[in-house]
Amino acid sequence: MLQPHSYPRLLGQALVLEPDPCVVLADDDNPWLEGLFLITLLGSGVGFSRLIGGALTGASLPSSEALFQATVQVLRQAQAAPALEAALGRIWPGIALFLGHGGWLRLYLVVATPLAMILFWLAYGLLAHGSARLLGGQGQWNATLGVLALSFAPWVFGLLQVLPFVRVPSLLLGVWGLLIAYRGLEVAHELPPDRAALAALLPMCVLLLLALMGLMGVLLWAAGGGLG
Amino acid sequence: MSWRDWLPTPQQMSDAAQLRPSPFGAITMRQGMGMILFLGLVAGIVPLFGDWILGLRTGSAVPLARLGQVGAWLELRLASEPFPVLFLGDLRPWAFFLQTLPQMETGMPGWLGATLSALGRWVQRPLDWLGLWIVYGALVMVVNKALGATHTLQRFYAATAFAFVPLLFTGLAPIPCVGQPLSWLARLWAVAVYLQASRQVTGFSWSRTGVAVLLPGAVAGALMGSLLLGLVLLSLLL
Repeated sequence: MLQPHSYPRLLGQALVLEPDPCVVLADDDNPWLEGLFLITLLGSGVGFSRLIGGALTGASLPSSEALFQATVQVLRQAQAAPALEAALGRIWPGIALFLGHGGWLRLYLVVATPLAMILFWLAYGLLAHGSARLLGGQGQWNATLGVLALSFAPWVFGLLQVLPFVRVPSLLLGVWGLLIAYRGLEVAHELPPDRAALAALLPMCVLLLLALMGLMGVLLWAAGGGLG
Repeated sequence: MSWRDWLPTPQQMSDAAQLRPSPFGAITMRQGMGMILFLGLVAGIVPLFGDWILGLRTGSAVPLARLGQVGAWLELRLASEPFPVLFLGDLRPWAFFLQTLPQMETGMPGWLGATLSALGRWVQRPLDWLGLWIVYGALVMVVNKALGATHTLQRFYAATAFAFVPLLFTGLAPIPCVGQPLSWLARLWAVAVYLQASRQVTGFSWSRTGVAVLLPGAVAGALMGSLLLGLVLLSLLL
């Protein structure tokens, strides 16, 4: 079992795509447990940072109600498309939450951030392990999960979200994570680079396709008037 | 671990900015990452003070103060007649609305909001630079590999990090008159350094390097253009 004080070094090495941390995690006596602990710790830290940063952002902006009323007023004065006002009313709770409003509801971030990371890790891990094995990989499921936990290393920048108006670009997290996953699969499954790249990319394509289908479903549902 | 593990020497940065080939093979990815974070923070110092003063003057968070400026700019340019824009309607009430935003009541003293938001914007710059470095680099890597390059990811990222040295001058953008032209010149200079870095790592000819470096940008531009066109068409239907 690794000591938590070694995590910063492992994450730092993973960020610069070194194979050493992947070897350490793949050879650990319990890689998946190590990965789970690392992700939970990182996710909780990022969740707390987002909670504080979001609260500060919300406090530095006008209240959600005042902003909504002012926006509706300007939409009417400008004689904007009526559909816009209706759409705004429907999506405003989401916008308010994004702007740091939402009060106690924002506490969900502390739980939701690590939980979402763990769920993504398991889903991506399952698909990546399958594709790596299909492509001739030799690694164990346990080791795959361990090395893939390192692909969350770029989330350390999420700790900076403790400041208001700081957002870590999603593409940065996604692409950097993918590069680390590629390195991890290469080490854990002893795959040649091109096959490791394919094994890392395929699950992401599947997950993106599923997310796109989900988004289209939500949009169609919203266009149909939702529950109303 | 010393700072040398996280940063190349100033001489290496200067050589890379002058497009000399020697430093591109003598840097690690760790040093590249450290350099981008460091340069991003340094480049943000002038804008940080500009933002802070703007926020303090309007007594609001910097993004609100900026929106207020956009509103004032719009109002100056709009004629007295209605100026309808797609589904947003007449732009004049929007210009007034944007100007009222910094005056609206907030849950935090204005000076505190101004200070914290200026700090947030300062930290955002190196994060955006890291994003550009990693995401654009990955796309160029794909083209490089398709063209037959054999270099490693780490070596490529390490060398291309030098492209952010000229971007230091983008931090001078808030200076009146010379700031903006200097900032655009710095961006062009950064592209030149990126091309040189990519060429040094891949060993490609200039034309191949140009294709590899510029193709992802051209494709991304075309996609963005199509998306924008789609939005305009959608707004016409609404």
